[in-house]
Formats: sequence, C-alpha cells, structure tokens
Amino acid sequence: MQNTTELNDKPKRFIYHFNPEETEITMQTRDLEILYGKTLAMHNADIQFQKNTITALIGPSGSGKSTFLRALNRMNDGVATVKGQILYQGVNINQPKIDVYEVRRRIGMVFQRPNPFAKSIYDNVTFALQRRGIHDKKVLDEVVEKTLKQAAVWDQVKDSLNKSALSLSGGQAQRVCIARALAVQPDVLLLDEPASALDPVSTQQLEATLRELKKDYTIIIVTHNMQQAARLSDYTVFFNMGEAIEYNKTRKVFTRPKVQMTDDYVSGNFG
Amino acid sequence: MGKVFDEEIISLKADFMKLGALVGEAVTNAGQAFVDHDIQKAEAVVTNDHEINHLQIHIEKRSFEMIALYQPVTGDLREVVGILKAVTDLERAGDHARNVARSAISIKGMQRIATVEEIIATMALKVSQQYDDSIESYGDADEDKAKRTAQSFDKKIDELYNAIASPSYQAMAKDPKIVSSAIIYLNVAKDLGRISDYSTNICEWTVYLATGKIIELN
Repeated sequence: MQNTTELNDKPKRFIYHFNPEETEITMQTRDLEILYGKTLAMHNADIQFQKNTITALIGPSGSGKSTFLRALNRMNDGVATVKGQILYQGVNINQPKIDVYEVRRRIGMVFQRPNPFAKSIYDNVTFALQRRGIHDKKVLDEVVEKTLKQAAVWDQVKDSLNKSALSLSGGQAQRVCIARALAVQPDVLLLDEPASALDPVSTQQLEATLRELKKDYTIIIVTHNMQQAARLSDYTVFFNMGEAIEYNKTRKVFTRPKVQMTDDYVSGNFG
Repeated sequence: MGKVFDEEIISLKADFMKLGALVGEAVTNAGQAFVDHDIQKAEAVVTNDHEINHLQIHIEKRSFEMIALYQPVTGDLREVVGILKAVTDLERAGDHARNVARSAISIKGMQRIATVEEIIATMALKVSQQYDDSIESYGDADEDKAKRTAQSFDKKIDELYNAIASPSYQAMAKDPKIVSSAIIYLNVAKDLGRISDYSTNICEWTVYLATGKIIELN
C-alpha cells in the first residue's frame, strides 16, 4: 500500500519520447491545440507514433481522443481550428498549402460503424482508384484481392464480389471498409472505435487483422474498450479533459502507470 | 483467447520449464556435491542460484502482465495462475538446493559419519527423481502422473529423513566432536525434505492446471 506522500510524488503527466536516432517515427504532433469556436478541446498532446506499431488512444467520453485522431488526417478542417504542427514523415501537414486529399490517401481512416457504400464489394474497394481514373481491370482485380486478403475477409467474400456490400455482416463490412482504406496504399491507418459495433468473434477477427496489418502500416486506434487497448496495442495514450495525460508502452500503462489518474482510469476507479 | 495470448503462454511455459530444469540441475548437483565432497560443484550451485532468482522474477513479472493485459479466464487463467504459484515453489526448492551446496562447503575438514552419508546419498537421489517427475507431470499437465509421484515418494522420503536423523542424534550424544557435522547432516536432510515438499506442491499445481481443482496430495 502506498502512502499519500508517495502518491503525491507521482507526476501529473508522463509522455514517452522516442529517441529519433533509434526509432522510426511516422507521425508526430507538436504544440497541438484544437479549438471548437473559442473552447479549447485539446492541448498538451505532443505524441510521436512509431512506425509499424499499434497505438491505442483511450480516455473517457469527451476527453478529446477522437478529436485528436481526426486532426491527424485533417478531418477537423472546417469543424475545428487546429494549431500547431502535425508532422507526417517530417512534413507539417497542418498547413493550407498541403493537399488534404493526398494527406487522407496516405493517412486513411476507418470509422466506428461500418460504412460501406451502396455498391458492390468490388466497387467499394476500388472506389477511390476508379475516381482517380484507374479502370484497368487487371490492376483493380489485383488491388481487390490483395487488400481483401490483408483485411482477412477475402475467403469470405471472394465468390460474391459483385454482391452489394450492404448485405455483409457488421464484422465483414468493417473489414471491407479496412480493405477500401488500404486500396489507396496509405502509410497510416486511423481507426475510430472500429469494433464497437461488432460482436466478440468479429472483434477478435478484426484485432487479428490489425495485428497482421501493423507489419506494413502504422496504426492508431481510438477505443472505449480498455481490454482491447491492453491486448492489442503496443503503446497507449490516455487522454482526459482535452490533454494527453500519459503516453507509454501499453504493458507499462496497464501494469504500473506513472500517473495516478491513469492508474485510476485503467483500474476503473475513475470519477 | 487470441493467437497472441496463445503465443505468449507458450513462451511463458517455456521459461517456466527452463527454470524447472535449472532448479532440477541444482538439486541433483547439490546432492552429488555433498555426497562426493565436491567443493567446486557445490560452489557452482551457489553461484547459479542468482540465475534462478532472476528467471523467477522475470516469470512473475510476465505472468502479472499477462493477467493485466489479457484478463484470461478458465483454462487460460489456470495456465497463468498455475505458473505464478508453482514458480515460487521452484524458486524455494532452488534455495534449499543452494543450502545443501553450502553445507557441502562448510562440512569440509570435519569428522564424517560414512553410514549417514550413504543414506543422504540415497535420499538426495530420491528427492532429485521426485522433483524431475513432478516437473515432467507439470509440463505434460499429467494429473495421474502428478498424483502417482506425490504418493509414491512421500513415505520413502520421510523414512529416509528419520534414517538420517536418528543416528545423527545418537552420534551427537556419544561424541561431542561430531556435533558440528551431525547438525549439518540434519540440515541437509531437512533441506532435502523441503525440496520433496515443494515437488509435491508442483504436483498439486499440475492437478489444478489439468482439472481446476485445488487439492492436497498427502
């Protein structure tokens, strides 16, 4: 049992910093501030994301984790004011001159509810490519097979690629959405509570898919499910009241967090 | 539970079995060192005890992490909890092996009782066999073997302990010069007896692993 003095000696915040000489950083936020109107929704959130890892963003509702995630591929444009730097491969993408569509091609997003288009599975996956003028069937076929395999749903849908994606189960639809995000060959995959609408079996399959995908992508996932963060991610950021409170290896966050508030949150004694 | 947990539990169990082998080696070597008056071998057992302690802490840490990260249930939980409990028994068995090795070092130059040392040799061998069988039963989650092992050795070990203790006390009563070595014989017999007890505990954890039942063997 720790005494009060020891508890008080714990830091209020702890943010892990990588040594850039030893670690490849794919994305990084610096001096980030996000405002909805005049309300400060996020500050103190300088986070580095290591290449080929899964980072979980956790925290109570309204803590700013989704706001933070959406800032990473500029989905807050027109919704909130984002100040500071969002560095992707060393380039600050938080500037008007940066092509936002190119940003979103490299930094893909998968949402909470599976949102397949009312089109065939095939057209869902190839939608962005066709819009960019790629119509070579051979190229598109290859992309469909490759990405559906990466998203671990190929075996289930390969004989019904022309069926509507709306006919799929939640878990399958979510993995088709992941395939759709992968079709434009991103580097980073952002996921906003991708398993919250899925049953436990589909969730487990989705997690297995993400573990495979991290070999090729950098994955950042918002989740309300702390067990999911614990078993899936390599690193965890705990947000509260619009700031990053603790960022560390997931093993550390869930066994011996440095900040008392994190300890209270992950052990369910929060509030 | 998912693939990652399965992989981690395989690796955790491999570490546990490695610790089991290290302690087994310590038990065998400590007994041999005492019987053969082999100081060098005894010193090696004492030195290797650090490695045992280090690995025990590593296994405990990993077990805690696995519970925190994966929150396992049913058979998965038993795998982790079984290791977490049995690892303490292994480490303690290792401590007693180290004690036997220390006794082998400290008895050097003292007056000996050959007949008692013969019985110690037999007891050391039996304890070592019992330990090896216990670890094997845990590795295979073999409930029957665990029960057989605990039951077949228990009585014999008690008899051997008494066969060492009685002549040691008698010798002390007769000749004060033999007191120091007789005390060492008693300590060694006690250490070997404790190793046997820990082997029985490991058998009990094997039954828990296989069936989920917590029982007392013996």
